[in-house]
Amino acid sequence: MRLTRRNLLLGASGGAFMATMGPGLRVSMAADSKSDEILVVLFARGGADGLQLVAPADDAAYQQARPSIAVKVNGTSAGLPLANSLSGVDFFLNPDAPELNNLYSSGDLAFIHAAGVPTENRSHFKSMDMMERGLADNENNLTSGWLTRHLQTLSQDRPLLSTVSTASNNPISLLGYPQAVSIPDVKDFNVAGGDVNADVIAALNSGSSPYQQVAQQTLEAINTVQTKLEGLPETDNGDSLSENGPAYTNGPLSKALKNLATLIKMDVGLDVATVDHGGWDHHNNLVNEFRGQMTELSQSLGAFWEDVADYKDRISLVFMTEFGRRLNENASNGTDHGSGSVMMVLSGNANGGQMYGDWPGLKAANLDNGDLAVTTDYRQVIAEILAKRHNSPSLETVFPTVTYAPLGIVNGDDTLVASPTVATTTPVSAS
Amino acid sequence: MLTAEPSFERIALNRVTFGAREVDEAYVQAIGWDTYVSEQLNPPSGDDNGLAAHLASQTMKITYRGQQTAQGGWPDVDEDRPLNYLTADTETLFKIAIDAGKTVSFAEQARIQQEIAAASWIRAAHAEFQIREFMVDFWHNHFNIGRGDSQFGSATLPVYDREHIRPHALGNFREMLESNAKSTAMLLYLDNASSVAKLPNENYGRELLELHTLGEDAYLGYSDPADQGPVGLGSAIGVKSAGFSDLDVIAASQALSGWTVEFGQPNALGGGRAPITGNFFYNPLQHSSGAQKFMGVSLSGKTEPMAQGQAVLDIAAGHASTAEFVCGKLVRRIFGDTPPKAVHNRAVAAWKQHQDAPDQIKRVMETILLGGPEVGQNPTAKIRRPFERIIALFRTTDTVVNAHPWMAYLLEPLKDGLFTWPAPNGRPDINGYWFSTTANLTTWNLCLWLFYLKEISTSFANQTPLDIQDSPTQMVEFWLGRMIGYEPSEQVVNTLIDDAIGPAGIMTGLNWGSAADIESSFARLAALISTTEEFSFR
Repeated sequence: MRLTRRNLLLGASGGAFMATMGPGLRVSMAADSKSDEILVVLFARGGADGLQLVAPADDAAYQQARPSIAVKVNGTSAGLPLANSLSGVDFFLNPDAPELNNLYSSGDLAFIHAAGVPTENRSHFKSMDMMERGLADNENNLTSGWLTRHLQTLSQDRPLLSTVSTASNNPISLLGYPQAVSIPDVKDFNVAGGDVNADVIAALNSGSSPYQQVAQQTLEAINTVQTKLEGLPETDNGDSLSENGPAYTNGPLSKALKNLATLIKMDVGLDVATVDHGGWDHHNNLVNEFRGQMTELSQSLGAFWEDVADYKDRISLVFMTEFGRRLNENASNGTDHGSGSVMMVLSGNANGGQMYGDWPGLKAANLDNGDLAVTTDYRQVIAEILAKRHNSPSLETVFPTVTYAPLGIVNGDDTLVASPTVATTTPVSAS
Repeated sequence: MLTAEPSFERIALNRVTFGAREVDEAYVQAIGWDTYVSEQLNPPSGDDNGLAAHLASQTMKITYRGQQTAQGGWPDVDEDRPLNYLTADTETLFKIAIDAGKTVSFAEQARIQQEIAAASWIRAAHAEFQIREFMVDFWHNHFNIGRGDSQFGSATLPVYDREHIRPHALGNFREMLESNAKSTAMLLYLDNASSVAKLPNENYGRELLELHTLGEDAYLGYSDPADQGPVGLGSAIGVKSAGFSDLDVIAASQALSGWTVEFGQPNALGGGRAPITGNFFYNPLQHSSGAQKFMGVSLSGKTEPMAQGQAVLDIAAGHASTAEFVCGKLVRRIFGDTPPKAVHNRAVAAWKQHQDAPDQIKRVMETILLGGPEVGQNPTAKIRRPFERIIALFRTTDTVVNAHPWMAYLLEPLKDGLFTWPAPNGRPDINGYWFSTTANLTTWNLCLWLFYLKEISTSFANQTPLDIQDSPTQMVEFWLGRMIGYEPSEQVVNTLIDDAIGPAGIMTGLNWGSAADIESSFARLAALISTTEEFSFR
């Protein structure tokens, strides 16, 4: 464990409190001891085609189903062969993802194939909603986001900027967690006219309604971010941080990740961040559209990882999408909504350079109504990260219907959840 | 002295307009709510005269450099130009997208979006028929198109707004649905234009059922037609299925394949090709005859051109789930996250009763607004979206809104401008979605500086009665009355009075500033009022 100012503060005053606290609260203090870990949830919206991203390119059934769009084994646009097969099948990374290939080779990146929602659902909006609330079909009893439930099982004594969305609004995974702050761009994060206006807005909104609370939080977050920004080193062109460093693109994912890297380097106590990357719904002209999309994804992640190199042992980034695409291409040279796709975990603690999951195969009998079957529940991947890296005290609160069965994607101590004795006797901390 | 509670008229008006003004409140008090609603629900077919004249008088500067290209290029342009693209036809607009970068500057493509965005601000702020404008906004979100998707389809968005949304805003849903299905913009946005007979593209077929008609709660997954839930929900129109499955999505896609636009594709056996106009046409070569059954209804006997697709639209538009789903969205838009159940029920009943009437949607609105007391109850239950809040700020300060190209981009970060939401589902219409730091901050900042644009013009000093211009308290009360219409919390009033005599306040402006400084100090006061809870909700 790394010593931080927050831990020191807790340590200094913790002894007196400990004596008066119930066991539940003590668990949440323990949970907080890993609070310098940072979880980044990257959601690829639109249904990313996992078979195009990480392709079983030398499977004849794949080539046959996608005659005009398949990633090839040889030739000019051949896929990048990945070390370590899955279920005896070799995979090829999309040729436009050299940075991801490097991250995989270096051992920080792992792929989990045939992952997704365990029940078939081909609606963007229902699937995203389920994945962000942490559900499968017919489990509509949970109304909050899974990140919200995770955060609620931890200590509630959290810094203002501990949970950040880099989009302009908070995702459904943070539904019911109004403390989450959305900051798409740290540099523009200020009230026009400065304090003379901000102070009046604060006084006008000093009440306790939901809107007023968010208003107050907005102003506090602005204050913190602007104070921290002043303390950051300037680069040659006078702009703050990472302007001349890593090779980000001008695209939307790079913008979000660069912004996130700045927030991480501000050391504001960030421990959960969400990032959205839209534009994966390729019904049409897939090869051309995928090229731009892959380049943005790969180059942005490569640049981000270089940008936060000093922090990479504290970061776990998980990439997920609402569903994969149909195995057969359609007549518009695209693919329609399908089922299983690929997930990624990028972490200094990843057992990367390997493929995880259970490859179901592409024979007609193994498909789910024409789609790659889901053999790994997306929640299993997340649960492992929460258990091993975030010391989750109550996975059963986050994913009530999932039995913990880690795949070994990241290393870390999960005895708290893995041991049934502890799991059943530890009360859920306050939420 | 302001009243403690908003008036019935203020509450009701704020529910279905872009901001109740004192003059609107007084007008409704004079003629009665029923008469007002009746006037509003019977608008002329186009813009009212005042709005039409204002739009016709608009110009925006357009400047770009000429360029030589392999195809010929284009000359320098530097002119103040009227909003000509608002009335252009599909072929003209489509050709701009086709020729962009070859014989036409990309700036012309951007200009199309700038004009339609500016018109959306101007219409929301100045339309006399506010309820129709409110409904246009609703239907645009229901049949949402993201302009970033297809450059060819997006170029025709002025036509989409003018011919496929506006004329139907208070009309018949089934007619609107078919008009929408045949619109160049939607055909390209959801890929139905490129659907082909062999393997139809399912994008439109799915969203037609999940978003435009039955709704996601009626999606049954990949179920077999044999077990599609209880019989009877759709029985009024002979449909046995309670919802739709993936098989119905495929059937709808097959049935609607062939509905496309002219972009030079083969359109007849023997080598004929369509022209490149972007206009809708039915192409038998792109039509799949594979659809057997849709939601339990046989399609196999329908062999006339477009008959299968029209049958799908009939079934979807007439389904009971569609009435529930669309009316549910409408009452949420008007009443907030928990709309009164009685209003929803009345709306659904009217929807079904007037299913075939040319003014079906108007009848639904009548029963929502006049069929019970709800419209005047429980004020401020609904948050104003950033766009609504900005337009309400303009309306309640008698601000004249003129076209500015930035109107296409200012709300893009929040995805709240017309055609800026990228996905076909439209923006989520729940209060909590807008409770984010960035939604707050972006809206505050726009309210704080938009008055600096010369296109956004008003005179606060002229509107403020001369005899109270020495009293900060009376001036604050005056502007609270204009913008909110009732007494907000004491904290709000006192904060604003304190600020009025502070260094950036209106008293300082009036006592020491130039005319421009005085206007700035009042504009700042109005913007600060717009950040309050009382103004942020309607």
